[in-house]
Amino acid sequence: MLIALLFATFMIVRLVPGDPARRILGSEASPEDVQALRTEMGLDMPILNQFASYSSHVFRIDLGHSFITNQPVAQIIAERLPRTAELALAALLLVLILSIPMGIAAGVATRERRRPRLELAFGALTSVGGALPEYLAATFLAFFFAVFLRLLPVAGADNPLSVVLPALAISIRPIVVLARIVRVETLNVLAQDFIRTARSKRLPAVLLYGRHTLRNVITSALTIGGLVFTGLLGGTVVVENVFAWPGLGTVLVQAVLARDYPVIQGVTLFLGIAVVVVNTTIDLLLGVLDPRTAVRAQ
Amino acid sequence: MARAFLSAPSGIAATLLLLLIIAVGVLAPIVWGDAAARVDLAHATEGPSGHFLLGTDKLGRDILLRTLVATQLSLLMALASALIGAGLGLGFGGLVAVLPAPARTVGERVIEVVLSFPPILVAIFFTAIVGVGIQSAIVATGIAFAPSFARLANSLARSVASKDDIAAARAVGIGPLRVFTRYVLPNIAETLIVATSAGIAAALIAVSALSFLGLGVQAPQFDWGRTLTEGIASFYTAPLQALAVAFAIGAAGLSLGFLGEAFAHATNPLLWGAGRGHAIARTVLQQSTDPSPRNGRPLVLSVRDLTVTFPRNGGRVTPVDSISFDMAEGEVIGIVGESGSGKSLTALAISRLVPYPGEVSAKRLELAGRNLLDPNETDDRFLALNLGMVFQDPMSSLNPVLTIGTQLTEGARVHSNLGRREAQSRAIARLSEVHIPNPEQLLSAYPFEFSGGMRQRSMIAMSRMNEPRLIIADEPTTALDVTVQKQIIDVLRELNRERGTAILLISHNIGVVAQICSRVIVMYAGRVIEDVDTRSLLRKPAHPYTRALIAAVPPLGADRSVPLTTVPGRPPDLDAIPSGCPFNPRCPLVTSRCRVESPSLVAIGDSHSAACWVTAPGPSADTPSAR
Amino acid sequence: MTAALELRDLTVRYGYGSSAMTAVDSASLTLPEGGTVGLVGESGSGKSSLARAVIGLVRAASGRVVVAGDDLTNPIGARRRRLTGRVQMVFQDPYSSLNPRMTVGDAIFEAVRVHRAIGRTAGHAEVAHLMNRVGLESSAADRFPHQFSGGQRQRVAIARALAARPRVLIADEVTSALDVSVQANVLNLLKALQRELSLSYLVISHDLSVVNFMCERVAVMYLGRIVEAGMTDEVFSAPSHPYTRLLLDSVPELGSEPELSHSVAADIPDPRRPPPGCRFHTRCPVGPMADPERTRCRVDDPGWVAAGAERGAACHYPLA
Repeated sequence: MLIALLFATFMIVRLVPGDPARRILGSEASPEDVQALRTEMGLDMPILNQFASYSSHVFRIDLGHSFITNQPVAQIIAERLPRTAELALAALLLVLILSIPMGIAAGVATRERRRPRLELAFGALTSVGGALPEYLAATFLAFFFAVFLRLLPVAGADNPLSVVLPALAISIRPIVVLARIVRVETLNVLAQDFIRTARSKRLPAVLLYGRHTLRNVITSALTIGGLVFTGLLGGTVVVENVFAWPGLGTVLVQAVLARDYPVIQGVTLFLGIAVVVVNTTIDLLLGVLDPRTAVRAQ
Repeated sequence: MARAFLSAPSGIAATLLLLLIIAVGVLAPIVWGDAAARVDLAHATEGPSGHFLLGTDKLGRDILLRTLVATQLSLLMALASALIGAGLGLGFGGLVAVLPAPARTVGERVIEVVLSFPPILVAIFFTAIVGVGIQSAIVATGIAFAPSFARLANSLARSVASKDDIAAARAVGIGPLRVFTRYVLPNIAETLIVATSAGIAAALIAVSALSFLGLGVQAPQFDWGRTLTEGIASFYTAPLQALAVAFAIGAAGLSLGFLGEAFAHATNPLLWGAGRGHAIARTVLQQSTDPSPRNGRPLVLSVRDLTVTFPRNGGRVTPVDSISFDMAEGEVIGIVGESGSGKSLTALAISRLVPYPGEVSAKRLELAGRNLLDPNETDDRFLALNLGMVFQDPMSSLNPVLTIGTQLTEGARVHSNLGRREAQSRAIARLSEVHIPNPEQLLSAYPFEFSGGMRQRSMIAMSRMNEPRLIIADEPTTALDVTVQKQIIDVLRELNRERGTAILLISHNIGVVAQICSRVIVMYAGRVIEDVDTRSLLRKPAHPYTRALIAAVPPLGADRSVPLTTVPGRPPDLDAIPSGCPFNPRCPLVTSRCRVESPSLVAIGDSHSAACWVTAPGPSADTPSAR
Repeated sequence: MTAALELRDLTVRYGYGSSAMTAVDSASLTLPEGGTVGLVGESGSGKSSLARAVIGLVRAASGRVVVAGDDLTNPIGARRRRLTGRVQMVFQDPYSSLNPRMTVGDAIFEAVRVHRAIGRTAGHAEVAHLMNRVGLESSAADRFPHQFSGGQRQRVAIARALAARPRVLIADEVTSALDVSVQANVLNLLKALQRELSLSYLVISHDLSVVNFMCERVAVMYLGRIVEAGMTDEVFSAPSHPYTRLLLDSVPELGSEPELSHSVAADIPDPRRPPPGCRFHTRCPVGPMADPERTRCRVDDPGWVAAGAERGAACHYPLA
């Protein structure tokens, strides 16, 4: 899979319609300049050689240099990564802390079709929230807190408080989506026969909900909601651009607009690896929590 | 189906909103196209006024008009990319589904992997390749959403392959084309339409995001995304620009989402067809009699007029109606009945496990002399120590993510205050009682690692952990093979003999009940219609329903040419219980009295009572006591 | 006289690689014209797979399905039409075997149309006739399946199967999901239909009383093999195979004194990994687990030992 990722990022430049070097330099460039750039980019070699060369560079953490600033791409990534990580982790924390308890509480409260009005309200709220993409949430939040109330900063990352709005913007939709999933899974688990067995043993609520329900809920929610966590990465990229947050997202968009291919390749490769890491973590977690998957993996 | 669509709360509102948006999309550029593009620097960045309803942007253009006109491009782009995504994804997913097995697994894995990449990143990646602009935004977004459609196609294909009605149709000989159009397509089409509406909403958001980032629509064209970017740039001076567009995108996404939900609601076939009967609130007239005395032995369970009701369709139904019986210590009693008889709910009512919103009432409901209706007298600890339960399906009745050891020991640790090691050794002892080999190993194993018979025996061991006086077993053998069934029956019988545990066995199988119960209670439509010792049950059953139950299962060696003695019809629905004796529409001995008055249990022998005007007339009861 | 249905060494396999399993292993069976053969077995016995292979829903890996002398194994096209015109099946679950989006009248009509060129009016008359025959009111034809009870749905399924005017009807656990009193009605109906229409039945059930009532011949399956076969009365009164004996002992007989079983407490093995030698040896009450001298059962797979024209068992140490 990582190889596929490598190949895909490699192919960015080769798949560009027309001559990449010409596109970079513009239509006024002289043929000699274009040819020089082609040689520098190694575009004249056979494809397999190019790929081999690219791969070996990647493994040596040599991701080339930005066409625009001539800075080593690896360095750019190293500079920007902490800010992106900061934002993504803040969003992740918000999602976990808010959505899971909310979902479980809502599930317990509406089990067996109790409180139908609460169920309706919850459904309506999550539908609305779920339709709110990160950049819209960012817009509304920015307006309300920064423009209207002038409470929080809306650009840059200098102020320690400036992480609040972006993190919120990224996490609103995932929180709502995950809370909804968790509620449905809680209802499913509570309707299972083994919960009735646990009740028949007159176990205290702590054990009933903590030991018997929680793990089953998390397992099924993770299976279904795994995409929410990788989605956080996408949201981070977009929201960075709204709030001028100096992370990988802003540099990626700038690179695409400027056709700065080495940067595009490097950042995409890196983000791709991050996605793979997240997925693998989720799979491992599932293996730990659910003995049935662990046995199957063996 | 139309009725179901409209009955969804979101259906009408969503349709109207969406139609409005589409109308704006079609008409706005025609009507206001020029006005929206008109630059008027004299009126730049003005607030809302009579002339410019939402104010102007920094080039003096009308914000409201610009937002409205942008609708068309946004919608078209969303539609185009959703179609591309759907086409690519469904094609690939469908193709993968029909490949032979090894290739199919690889294809599915590829789909899963690609799906895990956030669509927006995939879209940005593709704009990097093909450049920025409208076409590339459409293609990029389409490709980004293709994997979700692929997975949908794949899972639909799999679910379709395993559906019984399709197998049955093929068995009838229906040709593949018709199977596809009448059986497969309706299922798929509805799911697909819901998914496509969600897909268009998602595509709208993604394509606007691309424009927003500057990678989609380029100036001087404008869609919502681009207008939003311009709005953010002048956020402090003209916030309405960004807000107006944000609302527009949100409204469009919402209405599409709700439309999808309403459509899903409408396509549920269970909502089609003429409405079913409504519930009749029934008042039951039944006199209670003291059931057969238990020979002076101490009672472990005493039940008088136990009733369970549920609200339904505005009224109430009574699945358990004035049940009365006693159980002596160490006795084994069976409750027999078919579906709708109320036997399982009786068990749940006794053990205080009736689900919400059921209500339990009784003149007397006592376990070992204490009132079960009073949670102070019979608190959780009392119940845990005196009552054990065994349920029907051991696979679903045991928690799959906890070890058998945990599930066995937790009850004792909480209620008998045992430490971990003590509880474990007790668990091992109980497992040995039910003849499980190597019980120590079982403690650290998970339920799915064992067969049905072992699991059920573990459940029995679990019910015995606190050495309760009474075990209620609700259909303990129903989900098991017949050879395994016998093992479980033997285990229960042995428990009763060796440990003196009283057992209340619930089953639809009279044969199973007759094997270990000394007494049988027969239930029909929520009432006890016969209460008899086993020997008399087999030799001279009184109630016509009991006779029918016994006759329905011919013994091995019976004459094959003689049809089974049956009664027509089937057990009544709870909201349509006949007046008088509930069995009267099916009864071969029915009289006019049976249709009007409901008989109560009358003793006809030493340990034998039945509720039947014909076979158990008893002393005449003129006026049954009304409730 | 040609048998209505004959199975010769029918084998069905599922899966591939490590999860491959042989659901039916060389099963041979003869259903005489107008007769009834019962197939009993527990979970993992392969009886449903056998039924599905006969009707062409799953592939037979090897062996032959012969219908009235016609080899119709794994049929396609015209051969398939011939098969469905002659052999029909009623499934176990009345809740899932009918298309929830079609009225029952449409479902039966569709089945009529497959096998006969017939106009709408004549077709609907036929539907009404079939519904009446199975004891349903023809006015109920425009209702959806969810508006019927389980027993009624089974009757619809039977009517649909009869639409093809088959010679052979396979009843796959048709009453297992029904209440006992309803079951009796459906069984009586099936018997009456057999007489009226001269049908031949293959009755599949885990319930020995059902098979005993319906079938004059019986075959017992265990983990994919037919381990005993013969006339029902003989097999059930004096079984040869220890598994048949175990099954019979396990049936709760009304009125008989129950005895504590001393059988080996092992459970049914995983059908994907059947025990070596005789598949039943891990649970056999007279096999090596009970009598250590009978080592042959651990190693040798017993072949068919015929005990008459229609009687036989696959056992090294048959009872009696």
